[in-house]
Amino acid sequence: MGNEKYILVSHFVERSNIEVDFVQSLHEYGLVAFEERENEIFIDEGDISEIERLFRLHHDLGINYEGLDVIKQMLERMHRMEREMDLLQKRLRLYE
Amino acid sequence: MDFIDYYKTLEIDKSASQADIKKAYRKLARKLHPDLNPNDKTAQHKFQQINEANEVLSDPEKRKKYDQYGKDWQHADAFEQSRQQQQQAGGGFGGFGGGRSYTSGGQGFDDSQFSDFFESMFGGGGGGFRQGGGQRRTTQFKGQDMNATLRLNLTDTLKNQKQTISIGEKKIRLTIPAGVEDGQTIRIKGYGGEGMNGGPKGDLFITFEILNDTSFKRLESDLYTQQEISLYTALLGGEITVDTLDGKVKLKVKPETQNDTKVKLKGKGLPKYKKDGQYGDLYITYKITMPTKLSKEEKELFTQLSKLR
Repeated sequence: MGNEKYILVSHFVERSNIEVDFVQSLHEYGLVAFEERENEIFIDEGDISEIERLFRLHHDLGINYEGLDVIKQMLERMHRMEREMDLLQKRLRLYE
Repeated sequence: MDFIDYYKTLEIDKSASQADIKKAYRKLARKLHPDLNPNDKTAQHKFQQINEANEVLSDPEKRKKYDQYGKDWQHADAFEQSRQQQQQAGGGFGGFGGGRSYTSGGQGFDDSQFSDFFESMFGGGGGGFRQGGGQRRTTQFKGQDMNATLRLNLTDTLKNQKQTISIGEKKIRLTIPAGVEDGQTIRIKGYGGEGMNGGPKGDLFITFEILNDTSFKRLESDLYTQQEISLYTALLGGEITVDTLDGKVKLKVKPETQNDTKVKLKGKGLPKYKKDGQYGDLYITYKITMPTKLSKEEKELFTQLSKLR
């Protein structure tokens, strides 16, 4: 585990003003993975923008954790479909 | 600067109750929230508009002022003078602009992102509207993400490219990994807009536009091209020279090769994105060219050949 890749949850909540309970709940609902080492809990730096996004949706729109899970999956599916559509368009261009 | 009809923005009547306003705002916010509409600038703009409308209409005091003076916002100065005179006289109703702080529920927008109309009526900057405080929580928000497009030639993607780009007054030195694709977006953390309430800066997203300056067609890291071969080479086999991105290579054509046969030159495609030393393949489709303007002798020979079958 490289120090540059993972950050302590306690540091993150302190800096972001997002409650630790929220991050804990995201973990319980399988929306964010924790990395545990020497009794400290870390999160992947790459997950930070996702946590912030889920927090905004929860805070701004009052969406519960089940709803966040659904939105996360739907957005991932949408992005996959966009990428697939992009690839198909490029494939089509080979025949132009 | 035009008058903004906040009721119209929230699609409600002027007689709407606080519950109606909350309901209308929540409904539109769910529809237009930027996190649910990534890369949709229209949705983001509308989201700002409904936030502004909600900011005013959900606050009874602001709503009262808006209802009373909204359409006459141009005369705000006159109202302000009148208000000050009334206050000096020991009473009256608090008017526009400075001196008074309002709290807000902290949506993800800076007050500077509100319209000029809002600023004119309710003040901006150090004036009438401030985020945070009061009973509602203050949240740090990441700054706005910014988008930029960078054009490169396909041949520029063969190696890592060092480029300097200007974003406003900032110059950013970038190393663009070889094999970057058309339409691909990379994120540069912390080069977007300023954060709010001490939140982190937004990110800069650079989308690449790759202009194909070669005769090859590209699909991910693979390249595609067509190569004409003569009828005789197709029938009897032979050796041809084909172009690749890093020069010409000799290729053996098998006897009795059919039209549209596809051959693969392994590793002669583009470098794979962020996979050092790995390359895509080059696919060559043979197009057999038929001889034209046959001589008498050729016609006779072809006739003889046809009789052998």
